[in-house]
Amino acid sequence: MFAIALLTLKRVREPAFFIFLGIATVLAYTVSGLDPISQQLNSESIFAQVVDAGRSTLPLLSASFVMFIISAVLGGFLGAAEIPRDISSDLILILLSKPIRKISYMLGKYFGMLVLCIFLYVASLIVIFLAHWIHSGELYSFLLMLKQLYLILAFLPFCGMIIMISCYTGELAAMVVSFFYLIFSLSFSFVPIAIAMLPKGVAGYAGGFVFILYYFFPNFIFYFQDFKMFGLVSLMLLIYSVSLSIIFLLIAVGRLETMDYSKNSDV
Amino acid sequence: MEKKTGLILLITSVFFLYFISEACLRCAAVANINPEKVKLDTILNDLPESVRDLVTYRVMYTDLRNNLEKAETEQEKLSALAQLGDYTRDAEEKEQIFSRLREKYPSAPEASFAFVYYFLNENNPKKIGIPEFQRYLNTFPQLERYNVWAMAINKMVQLKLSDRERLDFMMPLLDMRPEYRDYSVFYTEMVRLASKLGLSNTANKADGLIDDSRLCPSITEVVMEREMKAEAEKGKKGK
Repeated sequence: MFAIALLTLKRVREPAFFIFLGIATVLAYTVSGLDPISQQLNSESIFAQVVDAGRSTLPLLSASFVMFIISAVLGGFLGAAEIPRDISSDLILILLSKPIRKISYMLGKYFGMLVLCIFLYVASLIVIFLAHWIHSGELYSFLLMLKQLYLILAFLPFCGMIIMISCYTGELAAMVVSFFYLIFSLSFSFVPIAIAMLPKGVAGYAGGFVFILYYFFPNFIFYFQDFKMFGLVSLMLLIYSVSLSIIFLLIAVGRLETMDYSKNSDV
Repeated sequence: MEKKTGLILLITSVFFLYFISEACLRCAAVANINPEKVKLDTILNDLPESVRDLVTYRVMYTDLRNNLEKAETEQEKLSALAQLGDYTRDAEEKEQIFSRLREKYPSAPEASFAFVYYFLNENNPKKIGIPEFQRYLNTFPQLERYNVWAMAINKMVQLKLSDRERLDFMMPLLDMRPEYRDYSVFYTEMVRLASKLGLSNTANKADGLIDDSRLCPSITEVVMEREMKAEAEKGKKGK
């Protein structure tokens, strides 16, 4: 598993990764001066209230939010092609002929991609913190910087989701499907909160149907909500991220176990 | 066998943890929201478009049902029932409401929604044809009749009936003397259709009636005047 993860991490040497890293750091510097996300939104919107409920004095920075999305998209582009490329180039047959189990192969890919995404995000955060220090002459508080790192948890299900999709599609299709799945996930994230706000009885069967659909998508809004640094919500966030990642990875393993690799080969 | 049991245990526990953590996080997110600050429109805007339509329908439907329950006078009840019948997407409920309105309250202006529903409704055995609908129209004074005309003409446009059929349907308008300015809209449409079909006599007659109707008061003015008078009388009685 470790060897497979290292194989994925070798992409760090590729020019594409340097280009993505360059884009991420330049964007991070550009957005570093933005106010906290709660101040950027209309206070009446649901999202604004979820993000800032006055529970914590440590706000989520807009720059972190933007860079999380950018890192997820860039990391997703890099990671989505991994498994389909191994299949089309028959590398997977060589790898699986060694004493490597399919689950180890897939976990290696997963952790490799996770490290790439986290690397991009942390590099962006360092640029944001440094830019703030250069402009204002003072560093953000340690706890505030730590709070921004909570978004790393969102990469767990995100990478699992990408790996799962890439087990079912080709390189390009995996990127496109992942992108649309992410958009739908963000869109459906508001569903339970909005339905909870509706007058009783209004949602009815529609609410039930929508809830069933909702469970097919990860809810990324949970990662942006206002919560105390160390408490039940942060623990639940960890459990949610890990359990959701395992669900995605189980689906991916199921696919790898039943797949006929010769049919997808380009060779 | 052991592997299978292990896998089932893993899947069950993972799903259990997922649902528990999701429920906790959802509660935490909902608890962050101050219900007084959130407007219904804001909630609907945050929903995906396909869901928004469904929820908007449910909100409106519940609202209309509540209106029906709150209605006190017979006129209020009929009006709420007609609106509910017009809005509902449940074909059976629609048929039930409109059938009841048509049979029990044919002379009430509120029942016009039902008559318009059956008007040229080919799939319904209780369909109302053009001559029957024109007879129905004549049972109302001009003030109430205006809306029924408008709804019927709109329905003909929706059904994509030909210009000739629409003009033929509107012909009785030429035989009456308009009492309200609002009727000029129908005469203007008649002039347009008749000119298109080369019927100069009809076009000229309708054109003349446009001028006549423009000299009349509008329906809104008349209704407002009536309401003000009624309120003034109420005030007098109160004293």
